Amino acid sequence: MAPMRQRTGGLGRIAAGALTAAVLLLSPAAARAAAGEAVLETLKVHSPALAGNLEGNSPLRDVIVVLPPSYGTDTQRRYPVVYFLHGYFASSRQLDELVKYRALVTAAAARGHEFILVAPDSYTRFAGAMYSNSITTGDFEGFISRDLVAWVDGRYRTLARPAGRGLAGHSMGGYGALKIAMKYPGIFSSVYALSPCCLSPRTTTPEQAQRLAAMPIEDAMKAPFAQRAAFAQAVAWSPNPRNPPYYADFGVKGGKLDPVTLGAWAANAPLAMLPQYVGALKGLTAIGLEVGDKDALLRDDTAMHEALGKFGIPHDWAVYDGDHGNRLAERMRDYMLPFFARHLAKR
Amino acid sequence: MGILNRLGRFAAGAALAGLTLGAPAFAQPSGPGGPAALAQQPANVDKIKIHAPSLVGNLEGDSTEIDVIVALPPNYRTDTGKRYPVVYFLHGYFFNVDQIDGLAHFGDAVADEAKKGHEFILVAPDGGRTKWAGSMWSSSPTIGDWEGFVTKDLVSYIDSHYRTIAEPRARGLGGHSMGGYGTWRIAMKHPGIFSAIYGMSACCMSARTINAEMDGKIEKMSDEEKLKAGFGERAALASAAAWSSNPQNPPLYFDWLTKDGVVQPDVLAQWVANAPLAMLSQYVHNMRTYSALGIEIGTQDGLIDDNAKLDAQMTRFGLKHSYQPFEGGHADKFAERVRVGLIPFMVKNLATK
Repeated sequence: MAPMRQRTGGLGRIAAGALTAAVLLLSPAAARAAAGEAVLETLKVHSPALAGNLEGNSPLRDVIVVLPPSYGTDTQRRYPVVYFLHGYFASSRQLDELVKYRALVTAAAARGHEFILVAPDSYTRFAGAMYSNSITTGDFEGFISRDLVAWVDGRYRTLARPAGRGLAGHSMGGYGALKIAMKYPGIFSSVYALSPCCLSPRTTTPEQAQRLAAMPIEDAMKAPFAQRAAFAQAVAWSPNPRNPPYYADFGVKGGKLDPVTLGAWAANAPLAMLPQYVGALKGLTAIGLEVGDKDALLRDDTAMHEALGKFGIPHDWAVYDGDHGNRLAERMRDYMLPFFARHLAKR
Repeated sequence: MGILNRLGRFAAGAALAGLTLGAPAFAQPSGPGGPAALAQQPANVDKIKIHAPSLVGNLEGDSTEIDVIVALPPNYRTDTGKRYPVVYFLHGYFFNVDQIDGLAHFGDAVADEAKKGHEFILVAPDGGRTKWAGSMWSSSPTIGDWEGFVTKDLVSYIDSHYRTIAEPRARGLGGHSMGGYGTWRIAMKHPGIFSAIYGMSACCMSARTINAEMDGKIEKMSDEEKLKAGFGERAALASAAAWSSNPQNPPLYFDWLTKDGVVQPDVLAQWVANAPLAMLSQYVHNMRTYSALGIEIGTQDGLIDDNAKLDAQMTRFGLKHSYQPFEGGHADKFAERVRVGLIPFMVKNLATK
């Protein structure tokens, strides 16, 4: 066995040498592509929709773009694009560390489905924009639906029409995907929401609202997940340019609940918005909705599934064995991307 | 503010208007009221019917052929090389467009303004011949997509059949009461179509709250009683058809605010999501794209608080706008306000070439 192993080792060294030669000739990206792997680029895109926001969130956004393996060699080909919106309390880069965007696109290509994956970053002063339109955080709806799409179509060989564009997201990103699909018809043709949050109207008590409003902003910016999410939602949904340093209302005025603030929260809740957007959702080619059976969002997401059914809006629905994020990469690879393979145009 | 209070004040304002106008506006429990339509239209008015693809398939079975009054400047038919700005006008609840034209005399108003050198086309679609006597100019499977009707079907029909300046800078949108409400919601949700926006005595601005007594009373009505109910009750039912649609709930196809007397928070939230004061914070960027925003409201109108709130919110959000309270009620000076409020605002703000 020993000589064999030695010989194998010899072959291995030769192979390694050949690979080194190939790498010297090709760029690393081309080498990966030649090996059937996707190529990841991290770029910055300027979004006019975000300019002038009161929080000072940068209008220059990180965007991770993953190109399918054949992109560099099949230079006449145009590709469908899957836009993926990350969840709250993470940047797009952090989510990439968790789910490995490049591996997902590589796996899809191995099954014969080549996409461009575009994963924009929407991290803000309070750790997530809610993909909403607020003068305090910026118009993140416009960032995704206009600025980002135009930039991607201008830079890459895309199928630059709704049939070639899918929109997906996890948690806060699933919420954003559903809401953008409702409010901006005619951009994306299919939508996939993984464990979407925030479907029911946010509520509060006068005590909670007062506690948030009174908190020093330095503390708020270091607050744990749930509390910081309350700030993120207030700045996204009830902006108030007259109320620094948060530039937001928290739902209490004169010791009582403020109906305008609570109303604004309801007006951002997809379950409350749905009846006036049935036409937009029926205009989609396909909708996918899924949630883990141990996710605290199971009830809300089930309510959305039922509401879609009530309005006769066709959609895929899955409840799987899992929690809010423990199987995210697998769900994206085995369900989300195959969903888009079925529904997006291929040429 | 309770619903009874709010609708009561709205109804009282409108009823006052009916009395002041000397017409049995709200004295006909079986159908929409208001003065009779003009027997004969002046020569500069086209009364047309257009097909509305956006309303096709509405569950109420309301007509998808919509009456539209088009008031042209008197020289329109002779001065055939000229293109004109267009003012779109949305009427109020419990009226149809003929009745509102019977008050406003759009043809005369447009002709008189043309004499001053201000030529424009005024387009007034009908939004009152629905099952519940008013579309709320909203969008739902039950009533159809009235926002799409106004912003797509109507605008494209007018631009392709009349010599308009077919650009946002030459399109204005205004409306009265329910039409003022429609004006604000359409302006927020559909930027890039109109440039000048004018809300007259707009209703329905605040997030709805529950009034257990009145909402419970409506719940107990038979469908027949509902169809014959008074102004306030029927306005609430029109709101339900517009805002809390439910295709699985025949024959009316909407969810009501209470069920067995118990408040339905999900339904209430859907109504709230249709209230301009609740909607505005997510549409500030859209509202900034307009060249002019105008609010007017009578000082004796029960709706003045809500309109003052809109004024305050726009100020808070840094939206440049005009706020014009005038001496009067909800509709007693309607015809005059079309001439001294709506039209001068549009003349000032719309492009003419």
